[in-house]
Amino acid sequence: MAKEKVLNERTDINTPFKDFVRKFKKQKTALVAMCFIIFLVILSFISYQIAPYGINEYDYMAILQGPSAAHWFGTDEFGRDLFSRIICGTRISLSVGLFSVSIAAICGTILGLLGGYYGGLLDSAIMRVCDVLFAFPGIILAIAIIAILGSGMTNVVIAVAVFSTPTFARLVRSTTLATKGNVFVQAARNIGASDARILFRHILPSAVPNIIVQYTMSIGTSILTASSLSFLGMGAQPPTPEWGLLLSNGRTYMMTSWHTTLFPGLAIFLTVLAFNLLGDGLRDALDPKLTD
Amino acid sequence: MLKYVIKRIIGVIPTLIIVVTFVFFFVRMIPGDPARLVAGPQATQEDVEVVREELGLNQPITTQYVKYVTGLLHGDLGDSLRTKRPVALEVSLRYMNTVKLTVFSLVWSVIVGVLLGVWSGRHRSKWQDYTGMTIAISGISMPSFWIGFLLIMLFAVKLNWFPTTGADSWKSFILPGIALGTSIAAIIARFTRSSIIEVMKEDYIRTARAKGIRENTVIWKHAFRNAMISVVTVVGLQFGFLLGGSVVTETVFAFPGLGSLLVESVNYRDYNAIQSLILIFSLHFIVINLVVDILYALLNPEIKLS
Amino acid sequence: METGKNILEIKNLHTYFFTDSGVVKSVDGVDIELREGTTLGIVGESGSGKSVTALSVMGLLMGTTGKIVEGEILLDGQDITKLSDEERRKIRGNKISMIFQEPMTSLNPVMKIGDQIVEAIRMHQDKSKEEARKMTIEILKKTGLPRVERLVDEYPFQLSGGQRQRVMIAMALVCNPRILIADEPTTALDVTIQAQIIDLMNHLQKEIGTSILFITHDLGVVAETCDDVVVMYCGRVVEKGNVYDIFDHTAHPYTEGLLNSIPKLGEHVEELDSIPGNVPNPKYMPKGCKFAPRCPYATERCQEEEPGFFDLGNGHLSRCWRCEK
Repeated sequence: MAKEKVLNERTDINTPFKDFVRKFKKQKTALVAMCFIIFLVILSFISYQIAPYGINEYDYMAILQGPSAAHWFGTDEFGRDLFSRIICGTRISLSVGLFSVSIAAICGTILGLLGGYYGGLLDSAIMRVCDVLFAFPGIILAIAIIAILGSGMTNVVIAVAVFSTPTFARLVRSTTLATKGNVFVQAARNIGASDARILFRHILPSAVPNIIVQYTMSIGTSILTASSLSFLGMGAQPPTPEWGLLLSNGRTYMMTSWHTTLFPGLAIFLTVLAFNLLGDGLRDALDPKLTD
Repeated sequence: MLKYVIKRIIGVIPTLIIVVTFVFFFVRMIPGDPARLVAGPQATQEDVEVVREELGLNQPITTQYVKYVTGLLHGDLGDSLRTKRPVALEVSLRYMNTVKLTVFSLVWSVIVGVLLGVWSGRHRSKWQDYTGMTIAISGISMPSFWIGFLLIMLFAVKLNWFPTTGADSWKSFILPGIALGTSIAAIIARFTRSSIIEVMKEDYIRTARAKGIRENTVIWKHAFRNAMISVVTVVGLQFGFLLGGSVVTETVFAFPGLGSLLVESVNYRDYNAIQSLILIFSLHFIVINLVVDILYALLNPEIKLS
Repeated sequence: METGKNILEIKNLHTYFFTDSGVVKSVDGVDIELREGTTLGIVGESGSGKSVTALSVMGLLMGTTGKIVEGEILLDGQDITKLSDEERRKIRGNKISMIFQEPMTSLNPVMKIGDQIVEAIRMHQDKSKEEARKMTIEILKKTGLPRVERLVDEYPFQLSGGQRQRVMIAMALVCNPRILIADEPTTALDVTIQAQIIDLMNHLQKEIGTSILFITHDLGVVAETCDDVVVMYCGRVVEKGNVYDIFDHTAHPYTEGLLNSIPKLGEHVEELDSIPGNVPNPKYMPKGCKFAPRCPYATERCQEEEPGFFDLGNGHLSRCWRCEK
């Protein structure tokens, strides 16, 4: 009897990953969001093939038409099919989000690890730079950077990456500080593991859950910021089918053709919503405090 | 308490200095010849030299820096390259509009956000919670300029209740204020909710209930004040979001404020104005966070009394 | 010993927690009687269900997944489990009050001490602010706290743990409750402070005439304060009786184990006895006697069949096959 109980308990022990999968599966909305994101990713690869019209296919016979069977989302001021332009814009928004946040995550993680682990002057310097970057409201900093570098999507990516980096740096630094004192890190050091090994094999893994959550959430924010910048005329330039730019074009015809602003906005909204919902789900599944 | 306030004010000074320095170098970081950029592509070499003289770019960098800082201390932000008028004048014409807009947005979004957050938090995992949090996450995910357009289409064009542009009467502030405050309200709601949920697990809440206090009193008298201590810090951070958001919202509504001035200046490559506006935005952000720190101390008796 | 009437009777109480990973039967058929004017000790390891029993009596299961699924809790003969939330609220802090294990975190950090007690008074009694404040100062003085007039306007962080527990006791007793539930009130305190707090409770009990439900895992404290004892294990009562029978005629091996793990003064022992093993995981409850896996006397029968109560006379009951005659 007693032995049987012990065995039962042993099979019950979960690895952190299994535990995460079990908890994540319960997050129904997050699962739906993830499916939607996968759908968007696939769409971004095949959109040019499946789009019913070319993105720059002018049709002066069908200018600013409302949604119809031929043009699901209507047409713009040049008679271009809005549906085709929006689905082809998926690739731009997703890659801006992915690239800028990946740069920020990599730079921020390295800075956070180094600062937290070595401390001292290096740490103070890194944190001071972060403080200064934090002293500028995000989009203002991005505008400042674009004012220097000039407008265009590449510069938008850089700008968004710059203002997202401090968040990752602070996050990773605090985990590093917390983990540094742990017994397993001390033990690794005692058996002569190199600093690099300790940092990447022992400290980094404990920061990974936080990084993943922040990464997902930041993608939503960065897509929003990038589209805002394009909307302001500082990002993508015409005739790129970037969503923020489509909205900016649409506003001229807002009074008569509501569809030119409604659909691009909806595309941004749903994409950002999906990333935010996924981020929420991941956070709940990775949070050790949430046991119920 | 006074000591705490003084310590905070002193703590801000290095950040201020670094920000001012950063902004100073900002114009000088433009790749290539800033004078050429400012003067524009059609300018002759002579024009460029005139601009260089105007910007003081031909002087040694230290002289430029000292001149810049002394100018700042005298409230001199240089002249706008676009209107040829002092930037300080341009700013003063629009300053109050943006202040009114951001304050209005902040006030409504804090009230709505906190109420929604408490409502969701106290009914955790019930329909109220799901409703509240669905609203909140949608609010975070919507681009503010899109909200602006939807508001214009519905309330300005269709119903004709509010003007679409300008800042002429209080009515002009309503729609931009809503567009600007929505995501802040949503963020505050989410944070308030999780803060309330955390606080409701505390022992002193159990004590309050053990005293036989009504649930409403438990929430608003015991949980709320403790939850607010952490919410206040988030509100401070959100203020930066508001300042940034004003750039976009003011453009949507053609609202004469600092944000739209910044966009116009960027489009015109008016570097003197850009530089000053970025400085103004970040100074406000720093000051607001200082105020929030002090507010935080007022809510927390342990700091207040020390 | 006088046999007063029972002020509190818990009958066949079942309190279950409904978690995602299944139902946890924290309290599974508990009968407890508290006689008027006496102190009853509830003893057991953590996880034995003693605190959950207390929370069930207080009606403080809201905000948790716990629910009373069966049983009655009679206060002066009235079943309070049938009352509405509003009626139960009026009993809390008034007729039944409670002090908790963690004095450091049990007071609201952003409210003044005095205000927290005034609030309790004004919730249940029609008193002006000034009257309530006067009552607050009076009760705080009774707890032996120093400089009470100043202390009422101080915040919890300015007090030590022992002082905070005195404030908690004052808060609990200010409405002259019929019953005071003390859930390990001394566990988090220093040994010297522990004795002071226990003395204070004994003293105030005599003065106010409150009956006390004293929850603890410390049998030494029980010997000092209690008239009757209930020993709980795995959500069940395994032995109960008056304090003399429990200590001198121990009948259940679990009680025996608990008693043996108290270090005795003047007695040199090589190794302190402890009960081997742990409280079983609620998900894998043994089929027979819940204590069998840890019991030195366990037989085949113990593992197969759960014993009922055996009456040993004088109200002394034990749930062990060895007591079968």
